Amino acid sequence: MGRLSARSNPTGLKEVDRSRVFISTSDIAGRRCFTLDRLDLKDTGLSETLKVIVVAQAGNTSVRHEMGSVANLVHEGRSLDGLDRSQPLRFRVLMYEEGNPKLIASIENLRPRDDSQSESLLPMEPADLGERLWRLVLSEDGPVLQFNSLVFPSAAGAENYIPFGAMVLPEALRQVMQRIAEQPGCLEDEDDPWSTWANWLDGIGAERPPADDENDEIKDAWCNRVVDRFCSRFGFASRLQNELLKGAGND
Amino acid sequence: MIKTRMLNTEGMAAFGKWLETPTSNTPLAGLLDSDTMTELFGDYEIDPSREFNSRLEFGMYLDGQLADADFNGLMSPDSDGLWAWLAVAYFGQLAARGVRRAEHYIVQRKGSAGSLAYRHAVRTSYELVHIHGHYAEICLKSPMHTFGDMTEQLASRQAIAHNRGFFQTAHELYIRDGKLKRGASSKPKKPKERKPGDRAGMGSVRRLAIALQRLDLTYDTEVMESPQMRMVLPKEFAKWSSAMPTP
Repeated sequence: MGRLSARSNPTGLKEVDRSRVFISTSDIAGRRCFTLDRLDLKDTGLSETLKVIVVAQAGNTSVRHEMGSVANLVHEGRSLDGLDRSQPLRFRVLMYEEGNPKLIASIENLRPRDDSQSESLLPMEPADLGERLWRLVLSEDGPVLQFNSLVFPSAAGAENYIPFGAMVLPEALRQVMQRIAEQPGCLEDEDDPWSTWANWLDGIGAERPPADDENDEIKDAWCNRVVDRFCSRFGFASRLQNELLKGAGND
Repeated sequence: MIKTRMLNTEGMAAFGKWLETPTSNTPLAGLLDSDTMTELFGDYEIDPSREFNSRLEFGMYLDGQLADADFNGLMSPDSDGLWAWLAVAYFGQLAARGVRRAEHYIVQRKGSAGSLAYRHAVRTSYELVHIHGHYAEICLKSPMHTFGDMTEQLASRQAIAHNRGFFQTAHELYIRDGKLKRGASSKPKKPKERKPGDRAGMGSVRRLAIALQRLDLTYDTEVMESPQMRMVLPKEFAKWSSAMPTP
């Protein structure tokens, strides 16, 4: 009996060049997402009706997301929760006709577009804040969320404490968005450290900020819409409610 | 019946320390309902005195008791304390033939080769039954105190452990009248060591796992049902499916 071969191509699978796809990752206070930024299949002869699946793999863990069709790709960020964070992250892009699982084309072993983008957009650092629980520091290099080092010994401790995430992160993000709304040009300047937030906004399906000559009311409304999307994505209210219900059961 | 609880940080540390030098198959007296080392987890109940013939039976029981819980939430690190508490609750059965390494009772998400969460005696029993129902029998036929090589082979890789078509196919090929067919779990020899005509281990469940990885390169195996999967399997599996109805 012959050995199972990984090298044959009995189904006529088309391997698409990796340069045609860009996948980026972002990390907001420990919540990691990926975004399928671009999938260029021009001149490949592939049908626009093909279904697109992205599989993220890290070590022996994996998550799978349906990303629409070639003609109608989903560009919103998708969760990478559940992956082993100690192992390298790789992606597969699979394409096939709806109803027939035989792959028509695939792109294998993709890395996130730029490893630097895997770093948190909103880094968290311990700080001596006296009786204050947290503080957002905004600088030309980007935002930093400081937390009280007496209360939380590590960033993971703060991130994993559900009330902290539910109540602090949305307000911290709103302040970040206010800064962006004041200087929206920062998103367009690739040399500006703040420009990385442009991908994040696209990833969660949020619109870009209003023009800088718009009034404060319009800017505030935009900030709030972004925060609403962020909260919906991570279900902060539901998570906190579940946590409180657990606590109520203790009474 | 008692309400489900979870070990808190202190409880996990105490249980972990006890597992380093276990003195019996009864961990820390009072840990199960300790006010300081546990807290309530949701609104579920279990019967800690209930005995199980196999991990399949155990997984089915837990799947029923946790029917209203969110599966992804139970698999997340937030629920690791629940699985440790359940391991304490049924420790007598899980460690009836001796206490194993800590990852069998406390979820370990980091190991030298990646996450060891799949080795958790309680979590994996629940997880496989929740996803595959009775098809999980292929891994969980073992008695409560046995982890089993089949579980190590199939549950260690999430892409296989969560693949419904694979478990359906494996169940159909290798289980007959509730028993694993002879030779189903045989280890095939490496090609270099195999003599001409030597078919030992060919078509076994280990080879099926390899075949799935190969098929994964040309099919979206996550959406394939068992009949579709069997149609594209290599010939070496034919003898196992000869008694099966044609798809």
